[in-house]
Amino acid sequence: MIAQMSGAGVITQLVTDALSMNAQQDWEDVSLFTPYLNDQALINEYADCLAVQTFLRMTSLPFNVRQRPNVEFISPDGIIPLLRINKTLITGFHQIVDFVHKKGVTLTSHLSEIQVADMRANISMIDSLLTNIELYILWKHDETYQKVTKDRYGSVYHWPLSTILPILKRRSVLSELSDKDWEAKSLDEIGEQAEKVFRTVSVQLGTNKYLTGELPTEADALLFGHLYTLITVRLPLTNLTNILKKYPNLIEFTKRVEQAYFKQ
Amino acid sequence: MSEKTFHKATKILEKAPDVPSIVEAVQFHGIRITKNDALLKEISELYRSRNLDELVHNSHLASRHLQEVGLMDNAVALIDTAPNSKQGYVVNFLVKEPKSFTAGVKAGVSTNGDADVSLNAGKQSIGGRGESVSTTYTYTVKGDHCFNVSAIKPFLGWQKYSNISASLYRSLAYLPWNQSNVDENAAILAYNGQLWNRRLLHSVKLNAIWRTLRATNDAAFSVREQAGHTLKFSLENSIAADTRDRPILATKGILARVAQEYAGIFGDASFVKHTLDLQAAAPLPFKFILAASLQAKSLKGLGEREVHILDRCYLGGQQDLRGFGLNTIGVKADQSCLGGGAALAGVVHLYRPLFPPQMLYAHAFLATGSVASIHAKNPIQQLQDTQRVSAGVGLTFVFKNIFRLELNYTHPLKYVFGDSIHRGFHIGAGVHFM
Repeated sequence: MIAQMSGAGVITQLVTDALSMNAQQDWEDVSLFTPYLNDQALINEYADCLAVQTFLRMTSLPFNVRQRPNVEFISPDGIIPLLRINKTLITGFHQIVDFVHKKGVTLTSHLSEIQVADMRANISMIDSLLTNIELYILWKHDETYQKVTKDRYGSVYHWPLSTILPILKRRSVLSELSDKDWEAKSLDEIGEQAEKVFRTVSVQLGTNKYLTGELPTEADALLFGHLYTLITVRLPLTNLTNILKKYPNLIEFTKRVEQAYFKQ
Repeated sequence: MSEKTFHKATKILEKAPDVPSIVEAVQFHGIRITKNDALLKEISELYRSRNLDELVHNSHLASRHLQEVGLMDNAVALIDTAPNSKQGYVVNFLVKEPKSFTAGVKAGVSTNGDADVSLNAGKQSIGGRGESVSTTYTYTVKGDHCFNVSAIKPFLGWQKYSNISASLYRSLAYLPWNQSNVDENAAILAYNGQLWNRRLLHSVKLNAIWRTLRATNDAAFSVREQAGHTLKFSLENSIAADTRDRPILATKGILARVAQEYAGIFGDASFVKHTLDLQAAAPLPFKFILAASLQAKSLKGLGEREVHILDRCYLGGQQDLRGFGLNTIGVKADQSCLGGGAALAGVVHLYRPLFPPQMLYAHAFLATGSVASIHAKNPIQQLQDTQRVSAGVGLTFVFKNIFRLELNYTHPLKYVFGDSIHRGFHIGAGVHFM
């Protein structure tokens, strides 16, 4: 399954061109633009921002985090987070990983090419499923929308925009989900999808330290981003957290990554 | 009435100051929808005319006012003697009320020089008291489109020129100077009136505008950083004295206007902006006309955030500082203009009417101006240091009071590195020219 990134093909091509031209430049004055993580970011955004930060910390590349209320609009294709290096803008986890890779920094040198390809396909699937699950809960599950999503999304605006904009965003996300045949799913089906993802990664992780063994890769960064968010963020709907708790090796993994990269 | 002969007012005007007059009746012919109380307000002053001269003069003012406030499309006053009294007169107004509904399609040129097509529909004097509603939908060649719904209610009364209006609009536009697109959804309430014995024009506007800025791929990061939704609530106040004979190209008279805009009670925008406009024109020998304009703007942010790029002061273009790209003077990042916190511009013109005399003019100008950065510690110093000057000659075409077209050969004389300079022939079209 190919990752269903929301960016249009043209933009991907543009960014690819920009990358091949600019990948040589130095890693200096690099900023990661994120929404206000505590008050604004929604779980899928929080997960992506955390995943990118984890990845960059794993590579030991220096960067500053800049929190802005309008990152969605600063980003050329609306995907967050946004990495800025000089005049080059790179958006989203996968493109940032690619960019860093083109600069010769990689976390996968201990893997064979086939293993890397497998890992990439695997994380694309995990990412796409988890993102859809998160979007469903945020925008489709009414209680979550009313109690959390609406307020956080509207928190950076004044009335009446704080009322209008969440409604417009909800409409656009729901139509996106409906295009992917996710909008009509029941909450139980969502639970089953989550169960499926968690079971797969739990089996894959087994008793390893990281997904591919002793060394971390971008797959771990991405998985950590989602898991940490789902464990720590309190939502009215506890189904996901409860399902996740059935896989103690995933909880342990999350604690381990947090300990290694965020508590030094 | 058809068997009587009426004469033009000039026949007796100023020849009858001693003929006493008593207005016995004022009659309207052609009323269908106009309300009685509205007409009463408009003409009651006629009864105070003391002599025939005054009556003739006032009747003329009344008929003109009826048309100007939108009560009538056409109004002619006919003064007749009253049948039973020697000093008595009857004033008859032959009027034509506005059509019940108007609609149209037109192609035109906007103030930025873009061609556009617009559909409009409106209704004048809806309730019979001069209230009007108009709606427009505009589509430009570049693909922008917008709508506008506005309603105006005039205050009726003897020689009263004041009104309140409300409008709602949505507009989408490309701002080449910011290399961005902006959508605006706005609700605006306005009052126009007069002060100080009707010698000053006064207007107050309350704006609520939701703006969405979207940076294009060419835009500098400094512009991109400000993209997204912002809400501006502002109050504008403007006071002007205007003695120009024709605002679009005055041959004599002055304009002095001070305006303030305050934003900050609600919404994201929080600033005070002051604008001063001065214009003067005077005839010279050999039909030459000398005119000069000055505009000064200053902007001060009131909040912690810097003033949004859409609220800043801009300068440059065929309507003010000719010879430079539209709104491109001042600080730039890459190819994007960031606007400024203060702007000063002055233009001196020399016109000479050609043929047809009220429409086509030979035109020479000298223009100067500069914009100070929003962060400038000493804006006045910066305005002096970054002064631009341009000069040019050309033709100016004026169509009535509604449209002006300039074709100029412009030559920037003094500029700053990085300016977008327009040397050569350029066309400027619009309504508001400095």
